[in-house]
Amino acid sequence: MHDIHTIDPVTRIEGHAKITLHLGDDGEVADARFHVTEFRGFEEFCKGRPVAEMPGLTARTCGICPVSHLIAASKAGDAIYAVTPPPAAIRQRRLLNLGQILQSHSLSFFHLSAPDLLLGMDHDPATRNVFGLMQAEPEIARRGIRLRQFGQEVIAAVAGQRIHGSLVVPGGVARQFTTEMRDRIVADLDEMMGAATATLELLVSVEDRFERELHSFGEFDSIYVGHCLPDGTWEHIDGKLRIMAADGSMLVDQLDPHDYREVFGEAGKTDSYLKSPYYRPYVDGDDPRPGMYRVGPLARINLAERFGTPVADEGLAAFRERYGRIARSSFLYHHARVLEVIACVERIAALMEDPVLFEEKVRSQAGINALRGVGASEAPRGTLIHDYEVDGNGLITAMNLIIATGQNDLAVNRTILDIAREFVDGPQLTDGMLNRIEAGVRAYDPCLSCSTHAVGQMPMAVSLIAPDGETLAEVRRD
Amino acid sequence: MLVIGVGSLVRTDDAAGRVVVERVDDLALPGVEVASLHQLTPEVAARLAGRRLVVVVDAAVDVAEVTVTPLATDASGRLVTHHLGAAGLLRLAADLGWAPDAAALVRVPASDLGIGTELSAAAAARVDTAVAEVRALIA
Amino acid sequence: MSPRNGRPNVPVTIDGQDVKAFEGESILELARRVGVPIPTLCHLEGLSIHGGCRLCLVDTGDHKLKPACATEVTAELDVTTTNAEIREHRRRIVELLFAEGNHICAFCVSSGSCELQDLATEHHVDHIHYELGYERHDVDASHPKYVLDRDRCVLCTRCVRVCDEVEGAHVWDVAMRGNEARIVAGMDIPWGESSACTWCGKCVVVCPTGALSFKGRATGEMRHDPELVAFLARARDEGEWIDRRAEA
Repeated sequence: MHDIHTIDPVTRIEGHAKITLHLGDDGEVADARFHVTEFRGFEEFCKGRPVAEMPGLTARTCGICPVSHLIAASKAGDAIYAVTPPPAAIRQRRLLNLGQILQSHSLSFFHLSAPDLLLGMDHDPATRNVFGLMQAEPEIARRGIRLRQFGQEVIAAVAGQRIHGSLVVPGGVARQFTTEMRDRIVADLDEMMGAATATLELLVSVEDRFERELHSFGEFDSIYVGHCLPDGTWEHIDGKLRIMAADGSMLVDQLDPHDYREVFGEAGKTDSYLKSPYYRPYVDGDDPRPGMYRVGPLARINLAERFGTPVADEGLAAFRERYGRIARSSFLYHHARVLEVIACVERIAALMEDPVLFEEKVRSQAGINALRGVGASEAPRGTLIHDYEVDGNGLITAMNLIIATGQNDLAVNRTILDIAREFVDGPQLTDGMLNRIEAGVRAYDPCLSCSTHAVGQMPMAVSLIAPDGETLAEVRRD
Repeated sequence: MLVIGVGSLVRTDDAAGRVVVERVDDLALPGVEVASLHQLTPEVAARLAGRRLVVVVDAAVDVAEVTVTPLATDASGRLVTHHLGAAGLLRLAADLGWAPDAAALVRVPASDLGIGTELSAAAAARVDTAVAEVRALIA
Repeated sequence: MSPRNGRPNVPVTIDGQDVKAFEGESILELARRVGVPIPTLCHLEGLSIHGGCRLCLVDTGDHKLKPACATEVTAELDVTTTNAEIREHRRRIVELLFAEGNHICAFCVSSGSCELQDLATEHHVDHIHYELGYERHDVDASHPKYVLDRDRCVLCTRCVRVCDEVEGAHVWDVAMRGNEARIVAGMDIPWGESSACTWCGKCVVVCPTGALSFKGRATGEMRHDPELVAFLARARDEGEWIDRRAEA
């Protein structure tokens, strides 16, 4: 008997997805697939468009992280213009990305995942959401709301109120950063630092309750990929890529994103629109799974020796004492996210003291000087790569976007499989199991489309499929 | 004190609340802060904390004249996901300990919610009344 | 609008208002002079009359609606500039413009400085009743300073006229007909290869949409300045640049 459970779509992740669980002849879960059923087509319809338009256009890929696309697209544009943005522009972009990571992590942690972590996986679904959290734990909910608000204020300070602004452009940014903007940010810094550190303390205090999740939510060996400075300091926008093996040994360090194709392959699939990038040297044949790697908060803190800011480094040291130098469980994405929230607040504070941020020259001008440009940065969910080829007039002839969620796809599949094996017992689909599969997927904070669902009310379904392809059970939640 | 105008700027009369708060802002009344928002999001609740009075000005299709109603500042409003009205915002603030001392909703009658960047004549004619009501509340 | 001598003496009724028009004045000129709004797109003060967009259609009691820009007033003319039928006509014209191009404000360089966008808001275009063509039109980015994006062109011919009538270079023309109609440089060569182009940029500043823009501008960064042409035409007609001291 081979059954398949499908969870379709998973709630409280961004976008739509469904999950199928394939049962083997022995009644155990043999395979799990995470399907992304939306087709966006950005790489096609950007062809023929001017490169200067790409930040504005590709920002539309996503309503959650338009800022990440703005940044990666602008960096790809910098490469095609062959210009170095002025120092003030580089700092403004850094500030913008920190604000983006901060607000996105706050949303992921407080609004989406905290209900599971703080109310418990088996808590009544009717109140296992952010509003239930507000009533049960108002102090925590307050911190989440304030941290996210602060991240958004940082973004607004740089990019203006419009979500899809064009404030980041090839060659730099569009306007000067003012001391007025700084004062607004500085006023909130102490409160934010307090909120971030209190959140870490809280998380540490409840993590012991999740021993079983810790060992079943994607606890496996994988490669880790992300930006990192040459000296091992955590990095989110500048610098190059570090690729680390499961045991912490360095596979490639300081890879120029321009050369990512030398190291990464992309596998297309018949059952999902998400491409699965993989680490090429580990793959021999059609199966990309040996080349599975993880990106995002967990990968970044595994790659880095240090954050380079005192409070985050203190948290990182305690984390490593508890989970080892390389943390293997995807359940620890949450912990990594909170550590990054602290690092973001510290770095925003440091930037506020940097006189270069306020300089007037914010944009370098140039024409088309290179026919290919690659821009990369760390989106909240992981490494984002924009790869453009243009004709001599700067019109896009080919484009490849490597999205964080895509890079985690193989790891997400593996995580679902592990959780299903741990929590699925026979052809029954229990609520507790569904919750855990969802929560396991949510640990990666996957961003599958362009819609914000701060409170997950998306319908969801799981199906269970037999070896002969028959759907044995389907659970749908609305 | 905080006066919040909420609505879409490209939906004709839906912008009435925002037109009103811009007028209130022009008056530069001491101790009065103004916010002009496309919609109420949970983050707005944080801005209610410690206020003596919060006034929300919104367009409404179910009133014929400018209407002022007090808003409960305890946890009695209803919360729905993905949409937050003035009552929901106050409820949220109450849950989070950010409730103001007092709150009121000023509704401006809206007749046209189609695409457009100008208020209808009917709604525009009521802006003065709504501004006066806001002033009376904060006086 | 060239300056007119004397006093207006042609009696005309416009939206029920009795006014006096100048001899030879167009309905549009009259309406603007007396403060009656009529939407336009292809029309631009300082350029010749094109009468192509049909947005300024008005009711003169004739069996069909007339373009206000290209119809001269006559004595006792009774003009209705707006009613339900006219509004419906105008809204459909705007919808058709959207249907045949690829007008996506979200990442357009001219968003916020676009007459088509303004017309859509003004005419309550919240969706398009016609099937969208999604025709792909070429972007010509061969010019070192400017970009022509035919996806955003509404064929108003302002660029054709300003280049011919004001700059005197006549780089632009409309080639082909119907759905195939497109703005071309020279004998349909890449703009950057046109030896006639003086790089003056007048076509770019008069463009009502994002079809013509300064190269390298990002989303929402383009600002057009069509009134510049009226200023130039007036200055030229009145000889403002001639040094009168020399004559005296």
